[in-house]
Amino acid sequence: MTFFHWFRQNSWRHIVGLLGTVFAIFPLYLVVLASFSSDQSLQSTSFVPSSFVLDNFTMLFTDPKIPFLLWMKNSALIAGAVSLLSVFIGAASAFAFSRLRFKGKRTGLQALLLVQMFPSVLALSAIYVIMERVFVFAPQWGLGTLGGLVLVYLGGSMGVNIWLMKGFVDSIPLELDEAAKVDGASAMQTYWQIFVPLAMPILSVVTLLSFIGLFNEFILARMFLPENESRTVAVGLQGFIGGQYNANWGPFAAGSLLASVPIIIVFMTLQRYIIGGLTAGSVKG
Amino acid sequence: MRIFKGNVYAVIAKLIFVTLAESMLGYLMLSAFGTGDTNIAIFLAVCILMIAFAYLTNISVPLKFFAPGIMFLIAFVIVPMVFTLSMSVFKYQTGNMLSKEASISTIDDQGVVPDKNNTAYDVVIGYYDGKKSNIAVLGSIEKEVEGAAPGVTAKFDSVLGYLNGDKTNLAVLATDTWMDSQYAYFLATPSSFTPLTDADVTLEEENYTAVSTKDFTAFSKAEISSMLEDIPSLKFKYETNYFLKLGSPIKGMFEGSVNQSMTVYNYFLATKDEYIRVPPVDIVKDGSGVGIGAKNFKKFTSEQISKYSNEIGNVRLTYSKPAPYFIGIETLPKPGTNFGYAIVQIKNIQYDKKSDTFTNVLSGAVYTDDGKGNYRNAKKPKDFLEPGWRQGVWFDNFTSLFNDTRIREPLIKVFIWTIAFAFLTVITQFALGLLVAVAMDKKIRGRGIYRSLMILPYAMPSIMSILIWGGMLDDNGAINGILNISVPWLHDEWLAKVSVLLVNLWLGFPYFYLIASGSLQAIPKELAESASIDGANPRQIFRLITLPLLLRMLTPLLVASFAFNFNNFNIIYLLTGGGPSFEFGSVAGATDILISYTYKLAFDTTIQNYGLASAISVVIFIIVASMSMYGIRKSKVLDDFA
Amino acid sequence: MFSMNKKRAAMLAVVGVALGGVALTPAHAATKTLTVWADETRGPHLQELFGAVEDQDAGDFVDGYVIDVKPQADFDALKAALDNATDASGPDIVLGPNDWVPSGVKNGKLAALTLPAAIKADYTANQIGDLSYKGKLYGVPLDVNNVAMVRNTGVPKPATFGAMVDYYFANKDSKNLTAGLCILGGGTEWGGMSVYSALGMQPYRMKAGKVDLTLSKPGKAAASGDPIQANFVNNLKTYVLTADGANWKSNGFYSPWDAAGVKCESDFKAGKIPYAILGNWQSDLVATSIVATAQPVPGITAGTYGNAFGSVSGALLTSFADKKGNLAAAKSLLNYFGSRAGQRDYQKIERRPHANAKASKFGNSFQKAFANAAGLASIPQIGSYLDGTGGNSWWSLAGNYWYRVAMNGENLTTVTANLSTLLKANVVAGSK
Repeated sequence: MTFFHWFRQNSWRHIVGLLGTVFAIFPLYLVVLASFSSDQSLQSTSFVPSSFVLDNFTMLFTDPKIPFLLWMKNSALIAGAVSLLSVFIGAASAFAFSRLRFKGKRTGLQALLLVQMFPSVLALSAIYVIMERVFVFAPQWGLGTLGGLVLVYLGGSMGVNIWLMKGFVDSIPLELDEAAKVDGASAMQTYWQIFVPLAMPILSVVTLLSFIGLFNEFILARMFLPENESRTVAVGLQGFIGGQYNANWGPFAAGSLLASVPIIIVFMTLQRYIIGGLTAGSVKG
Repeated sequence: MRIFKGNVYAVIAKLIFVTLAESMLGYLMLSAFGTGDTNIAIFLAVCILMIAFAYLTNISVPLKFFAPGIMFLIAFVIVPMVFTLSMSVFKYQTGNMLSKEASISTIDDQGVVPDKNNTAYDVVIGYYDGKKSNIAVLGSIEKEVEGAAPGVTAKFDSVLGYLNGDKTNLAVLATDTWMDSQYAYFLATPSSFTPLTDADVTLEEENYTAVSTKDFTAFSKAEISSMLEDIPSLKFKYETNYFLKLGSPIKGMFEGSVNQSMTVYNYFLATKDEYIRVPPVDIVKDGSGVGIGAKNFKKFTSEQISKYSNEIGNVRLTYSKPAPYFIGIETLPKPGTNFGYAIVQIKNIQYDKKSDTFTNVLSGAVYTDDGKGNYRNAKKPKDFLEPGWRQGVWFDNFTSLFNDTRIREPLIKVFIWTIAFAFLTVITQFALGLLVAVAMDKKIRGRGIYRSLMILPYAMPSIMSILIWGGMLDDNGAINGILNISVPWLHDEWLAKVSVLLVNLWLGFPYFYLIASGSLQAIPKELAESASIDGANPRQIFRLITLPLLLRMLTPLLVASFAFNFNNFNIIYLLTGGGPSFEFGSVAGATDILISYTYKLAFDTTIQNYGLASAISVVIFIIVASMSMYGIRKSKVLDDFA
Repeated sequence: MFSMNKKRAAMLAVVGVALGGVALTPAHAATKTLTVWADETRGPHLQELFGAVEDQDAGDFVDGYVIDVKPQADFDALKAALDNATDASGPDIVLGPNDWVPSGVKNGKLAALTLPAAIKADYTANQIGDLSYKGKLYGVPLDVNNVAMVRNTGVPKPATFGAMVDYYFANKDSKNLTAGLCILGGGTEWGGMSVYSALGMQPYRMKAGKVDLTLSKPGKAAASGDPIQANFVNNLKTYVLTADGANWKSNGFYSPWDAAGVKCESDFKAGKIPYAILGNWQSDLVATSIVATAQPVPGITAGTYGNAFGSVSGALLTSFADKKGNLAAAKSLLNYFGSRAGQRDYQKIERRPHANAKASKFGNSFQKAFANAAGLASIPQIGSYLDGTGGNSWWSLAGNYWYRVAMNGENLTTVTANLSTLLKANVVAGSK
């Protein structure tokens, strides 16, 4: 194949690819730049780094008022617990919606979908009041505790996850569980011994996606965990730029970078499964 | 195949799980009952029963799968949702946030004012008659008294006159004829005391008393007789705490005696039932005479203060004037001192349960339920009591959406933008995603790298990328900086809209790229090949075959994405905060979508209007739900369950 | 497979364990705690003042109590938390700006207190008034938020606004000035109000300690209480705008927010901007010698000044304190906050000037400079007039106005007339 031929066939693909890539990484590049810059702003006037210092990073680990590692731990704990539990709980419901025959299934699914669409910002107040009451009789599960936020998130993520996973379950061939049924397995046994092992890759993908989603939650976390040591990384970092009087983009950028890198790495490693997972639900429609 | 029946380990595992869950819920339930959170306790009880029913019987198989999910959904989604729905039929806004009971109790608690003179005492806080519940305070009322100064025997022959020819500028020229004091002569005014020597004064020959000095003029007899009534109340300064008073005149000369003003205390004990004046003999005093202990009265220790602080803060002690006056304890003893602070107060706003009215006993004003969430003075409609309560108003919030132009106009704008925003977002994200997917739908060199880099926006936590975009698009952000321009990306109505769409495109195109490329692979290649054999060029194949197929496959996802963006709170709230505002500072802004507008109405403004916000929520819900239901019907996602 | 009997036994066991939970009721803590909520700057300062809860002896500050300070993530979060808080979790005391008082009372979140006369006498009537609503006091003034104008090294003290503009244009080229006056602290709406005020516009005007409600009728001559005085438009044209066709645009002197080519902080530090509005919490931003030049923005004629907001932040008593049985204890802590000793202790840590004037001899030179500026020209920040009961808050009007007339080139007369109507409506609405 001559170069010319290759270019005519593929050049537009490369142009699209290049432009898309520039668009995608341009802000990320600036974050990297800002995180190593001594200037506390996002005012960079060129793409070339003007300074290279590690101050922003050292600040995150040494300033006693910025318990960055604690924030990371909180976020990881909360998002980890919720994504695992919600997939654990949600998968069962998804399986039931997909495979079992029962009265009110269609209504149930529709109701689930409707509930999902409810604009939930206002529910904030109600949730706050409920958890405040819970705090009174069970201080370890109420307002201001990681446990309490996990409960609230679990409730909130239930609908999406069930709906999402139902799509995946639908894409798993029926034959296997038919066979199990013939062998006299109960629905529960089919679920645990046939379905769960088969769906493991997909369940992991949903767990990961829901982990990322939870990592992003901000409004509830900000109100629920006001204390510096119990903040999530999203709330903690937002404090650098959302404060009353100052915008410290340097540490914000450094923190964002550190918080994002693990997620990006996991995401990239599981890319193939994620793409499979994302499309599985849709293609069948 | 494994033998499924009778797997004992599985059953045991299940039992352990169920037992754990049940005992934990049971513990929580009992605690909830204990603190009076009956609603939550009942909910937990139902959960316990449901779990038992689901896992310990075989009556309903689906319930085994649904039980935990249902519990969480009800607790944290359905209940708050019902709460939101119900708010929409209430007048529920700043000033009307509480329940009526809470409002009554707050008005009642706050219906107290200090008495007119702001009477206040430093008091010792303790209890009376040995009963700790009988909270009492010991107060000392300071009183100034005047009297002959003990131990000072000096008397002065005094001439009353005035200084510098000004008859209001009174002065006394005094002589110590008995030589009892260290001062032979002095000149005193009400505010000054000046010792004089022989050289300063002119003496009267007969008695060797001073009769005149510089600037001093004595009053004539006639003048003095016209002043006689006032003279006993005149005070002239002597040394430090002492002063000189004049007796009756003898031959134009007064006898001046040294007096002193003293602080003495009256003591009282106030208990819930009585106000007792305590004679000084029954009082333990500190150095200055202030009472710190009394008969039958015991001071609270620090520990007791802490233990009874609630009772102390709320007790109403008897005052010398009868109710509605009382003595309230304002603060606990300052650490290191004996004294707290108590003030005389009046319970001026009083509630009458029978007629459901408040009365101001001082002004006589009567406040009745105005049916709009406040107690209002029927005679003076501007005079009402705060806080008010949430009053049911049926559909007023909904009708105001349509009738009140101040609400309707921004709402319509916001609504149109919401639709446009969601629609354009989906279109742009899908278009770019599809373009990239098609471009990458061939094994070109570097495809893996392109792909990895292009899905970065999707992998990066969006909260951070949105905030970063916000910083970049700021007036002095990186974009303006690098391009060396000054474009108000977030401050101009239309530019802000474009910015929001641009950022959302950045966030969302990788998702559609991933989806579309997956779907492209699922389209049978034979279709394209046969079309190509029929002479169709690649563009035609794409337009006539690939795209329609793709659209059919992806419709549910497009609809879902539309619904998601319809309520995409984060991007608006974090990027522009909904701004810039329309026409000078209305709550709604040019990039506000319904949900961020709702949020601002309810939480972000000084006048928070939950009722209106929740009415808007209900409207949003109906719109989104019907759109999605329509989309789903059309795409037949739910058909399998018919 | 279990038999039905075994199943029943298992069920009983489950119920048994569930009931066993009763025995484990949580014990109550012995020491009582007073909870104070604060924002992200004052909160940590208070924590420093009181010390960690574990390290406190009950009774250090209030008999039998320890003080637990909970700083919230930011001001919005603090407000949101307070709005949602109920008796179960609400604080006993919340640190907030004076304009939270009216809505706090309306929503039943705040409770009234009576200060001992000795403490009350240390504060000005305005400060007490700022934290009062309908004649009752709801908190203790804690610190003062205000801004003042500082000038760069070597810049002469301006007598009038015009002198500053003249200085700017005279030195623009020789000294490479990027702007004449910019805002380092407080933003366009809050800090920049003093600039508007110097030129003749204010959200409301004060008369004998109260908002002046004498407003002109539309189309009639300006009245004493008018937010926009008659000379305002002319002053804008004379000092900060320049003709641009039929309309007007900024002449480059005033830069209320950073734009391309003008970056307030770095340019001011580099000597490229002669005057800046500095916030009193920014003590470490500029040199001490520059802070010493703090003064109000000079007015059009010598001896007059633009008013800055002098808002007092208070420690506010909540109604939760009563519900939680901490009423007297919370009031005791408030008395400590208000006392000279308390103010002094707090001010060692907090940079803002203390509200207690009698404690001010303990302040540093920075705090004194700002207190002086505030004494010369300030107006109280009164929420009900600013937050736009009719939906047009000063906070969104002020910046938007400059954007429209000076940058977007909209018709000066129309936009100003528009603004005038809205501000007047605010004054009317606020007085109700």
